[in-house]
Amino acid sequence: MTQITGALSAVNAAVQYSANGSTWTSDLSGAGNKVTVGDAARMSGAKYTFDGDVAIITTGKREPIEITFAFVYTEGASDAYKLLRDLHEAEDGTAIYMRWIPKGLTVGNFVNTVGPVKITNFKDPENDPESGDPLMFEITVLAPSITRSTYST
Amino acid sequence: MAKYKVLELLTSLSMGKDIQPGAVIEIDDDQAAAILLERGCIIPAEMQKKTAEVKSINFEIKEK
Repeated sequence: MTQITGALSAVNAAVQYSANGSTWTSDLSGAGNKVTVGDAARMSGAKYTFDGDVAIITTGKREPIEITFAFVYTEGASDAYKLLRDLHEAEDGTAIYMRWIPKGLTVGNFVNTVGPVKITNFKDPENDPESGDPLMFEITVLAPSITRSTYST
Repeated sequence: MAKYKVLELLTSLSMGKDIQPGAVIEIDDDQAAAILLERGCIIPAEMQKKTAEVKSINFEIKEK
C-alpha cells in the first residue's frame, strides 16, 4: 500500500463553546490546550458454556463518551475560566454545546460537536510553586455521542 | 453561484448553523464547492435532477 498523505498535528485545531448549539460566538481556542476524547465503547458481554472452547459474545448499546477540555487559566471577566465555571455552578448546571475542529476553521474540515451536555467535572488549577508552567484548568462533559459534520461556507 | 444537494451533515460558517443532508444550498465560492465535492459532502443539484430523469426514463423503458 502506498504511504498515506494528509496526516496532521493539532497545530491549527479550534475549540468553541455555544449556549444553544446554533450561535458559536465563543471561540475558546486562545485558551484551549487539549481535547481528550474518551473511549467510544459499545456494551458487550461474554459467557462460556460447557460445550465449546470459546465464548459466546453479545453486544449492546453505545456507551456515553467522556470528553475533557483543558484550558489555560486566566482571570478575565469573559475568559474561559469564569465562563465555564459559572455554567458549571449554576443551579442544576447549565446545558452547553462544545465542538472541536482538529484541522482548523476552514472549509472541508471535520467538525466534532457534542451537546446539549452539562459539565460533569470541573477541575481547578493545581498551584505548584515548583513549576513554571501556566496554570491550567479542565472541564469534563459526558455526551451520548459525538456528531461529525463538515465545515462549509 | 451554483446549487448543490447536501449529502453529509454540514456546519455552515456563514449561516452559523448545521445543514442537514437532503437540503439544497447555493455556494458562490467555487474553491469551497470543489473541496466539498471532492469530500463527497455535496453533489450538484443539476446532476441530482439528471440522475432522477435517467431513473424515470429507465422505468418507462422497463414498463414498455
